[in-house]
Amino acid sequence: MQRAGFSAFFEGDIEDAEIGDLRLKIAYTDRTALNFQISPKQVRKISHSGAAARLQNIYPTIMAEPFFPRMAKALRRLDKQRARNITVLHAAPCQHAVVFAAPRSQSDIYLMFAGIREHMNALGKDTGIVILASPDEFRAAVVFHFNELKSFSDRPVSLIFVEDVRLAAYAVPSSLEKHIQAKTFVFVSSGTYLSAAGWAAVSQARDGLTFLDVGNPVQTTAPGEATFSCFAWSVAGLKAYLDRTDTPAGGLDSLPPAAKLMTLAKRVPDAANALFFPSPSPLLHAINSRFES
Amino acid sequence: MKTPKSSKVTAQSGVTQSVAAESVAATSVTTTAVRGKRIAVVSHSHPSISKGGAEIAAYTLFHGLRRLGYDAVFIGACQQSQRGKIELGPNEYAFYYDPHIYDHFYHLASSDVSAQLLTLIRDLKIDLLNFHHFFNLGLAAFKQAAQEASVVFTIHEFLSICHNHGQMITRPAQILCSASSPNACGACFPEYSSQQFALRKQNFLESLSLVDAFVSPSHFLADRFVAWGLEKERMNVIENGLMYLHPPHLAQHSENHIWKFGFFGQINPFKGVDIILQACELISKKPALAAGIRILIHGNLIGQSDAFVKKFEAALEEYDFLSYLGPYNNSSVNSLMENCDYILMPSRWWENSPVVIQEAYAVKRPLICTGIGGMAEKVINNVSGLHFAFNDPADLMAVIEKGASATVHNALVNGIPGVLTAEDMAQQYLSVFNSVKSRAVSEPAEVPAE
Repeated sequence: MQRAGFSAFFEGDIEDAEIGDLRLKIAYTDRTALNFQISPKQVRKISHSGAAARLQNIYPTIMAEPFFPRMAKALRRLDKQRARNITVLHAAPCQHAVVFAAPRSQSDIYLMFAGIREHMNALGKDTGIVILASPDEFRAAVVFHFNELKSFSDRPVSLIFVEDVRLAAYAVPSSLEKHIQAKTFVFVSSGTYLSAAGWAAVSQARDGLTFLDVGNPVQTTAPGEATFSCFAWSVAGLKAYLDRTDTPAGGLDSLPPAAKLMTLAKRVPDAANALFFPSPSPLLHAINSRFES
Repeated sequence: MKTPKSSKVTAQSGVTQSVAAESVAATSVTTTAVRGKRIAVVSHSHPSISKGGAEIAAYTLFHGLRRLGYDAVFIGACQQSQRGKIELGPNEYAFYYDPHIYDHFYHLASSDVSAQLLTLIRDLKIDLLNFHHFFNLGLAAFKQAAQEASVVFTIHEFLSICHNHGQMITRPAQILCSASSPNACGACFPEYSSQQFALRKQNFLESLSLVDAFVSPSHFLADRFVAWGLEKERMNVIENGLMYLHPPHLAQHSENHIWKFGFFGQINPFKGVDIILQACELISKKPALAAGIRILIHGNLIGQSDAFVKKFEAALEEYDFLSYLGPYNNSSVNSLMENCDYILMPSRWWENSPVVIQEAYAVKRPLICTGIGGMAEKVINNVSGLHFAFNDPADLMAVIEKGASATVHNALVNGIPGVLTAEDMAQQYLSVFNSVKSRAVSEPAEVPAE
């Protein structure tokens, strides 16, 4: 019993504080039974998409369960809720913010900050830089480069920590509205690198939804795609959209934008390059496959 | 703002023909344009800290320019922790970096490094920068510096093309690689995506697009970079010079002469000392050959596995004709080489323009080398040395056997080309510097020659 593991699925949200006094009742064939008390320390709550791969390992056929659509919707909603947990390290208000979700690789963090240092002085006077980062193993690198950026520039630069940087787009309204007071923004996801054309466009992109097309640098002749990996919008516009829309788990850019949105949005070609193309787990794919964002 | 020299550099050009036509002739140099202008030779290190080929070549050029009376300064990068060790001479400056704050994939450093370098360039009123590397200073500093002065960039190895220590060898299989591509590089380094490799190349080419002229010490390296995407028209080939040349001591060969074959350099996995050990095993099976030769290994062991070290020690014990003479100082390399008849260079990678070849030529010693890359270019087979097949100890043994002959040796000694002095090297560089359209600057007085 000391090494056994058990998985159970419950409908509804369970707060960590509610996980206590758990008992496992084992019924034997001779009709006797034993009750085991389980310490809260031994419980692992798998309730969000970040652990989708683990969930799939535990229960590979969970997609076939009748409760799966309800569970998928709850997981999608949970991601947006998680994104509201932010910690501000340094906030410098600005009218228009270029928001970067920090990459999850040391090299790409260097690349992101080098790009910012090279281009930020050409931005409009009312434009600031906001870095959204995870408090993970790359936190120290981000803080170091951010402090360098702050000391070598007189532009407003801000650093805000979010629970999971893959969900950074969901954290944009809560970060910008309250702490930066920005009205409009450009968002660059952690897997995206702005090109010179993208940098030239970021100061101007403040009139409604604009997709800054993301290309594959391996196939330079192929046109880029409009995705939520790199887009500009008003803070109010994104907030309203997130409030009224069932959005994907794993980040806003986990799915292509809805066709209806595409007809309304502007496009900036050749604005950015993908640093990689993630392969979503089959479970995440299933969680996001039953609706269109 | 300085603009890129050409949009052509962003695409792989596919040019493979030699850039031999771009070789600079030492005799037709006009030296007026940079006379009175200040030239900075910028290196990723300083010879008082490390003695790699690139920093030695940069330092030799700096002294060559000074000896010719040009206003040259040397700017070297130095680890912060080695501030107390660096020995800066007159007209020498340093900027300091923390090796922990450096990205070895995109080659980006701290902003502080850029700031120090820019301060030096502005304070010293530099008109022309001759970078001998981007390593330790990073591409961002390189790009910022290129906005301040004309730039000539000397390429010393393949690090821009290849993330595997610039060796152009695949990993983990260690197969010679002819060309990089995002997918091929992603196969060598699965921890990086092919997109990251494509952006790595894009960033390098963007940075190098600010360079006014390139210099390569070998046609082989120049051709590789032109094929990778640099403009052929801006590429020049200039051999590295040697700081000091002494008249060589030519050995006489008696009838019972014991032929000595010397290896000089770091004994690291790329230098192929293991091939020498395998050849020793074959030589030991030919008693007449084994009795007539000696193989002398000079250098220090770096990055070798325990298995190699054991094999090396066992071979030293087993073969009387094999000796390990340990590390050496650069100042003693002439006399150590003169103690040999041939210099062995069994490298497992392409090499570029190894200084060992110039050092061997300076003392009129032919080389036995792997017949690939920069070695094959610098050592002409059956003219100034002998080639053996890549990774083939039996062929190395056969070539050693062939070389152990006074007739062959004398012919090869006669085929050894001349070696450039620091001044010769500087003269050739000056013709490249003069071809660069320089900025309008005030002209300081000419400086006395060193």
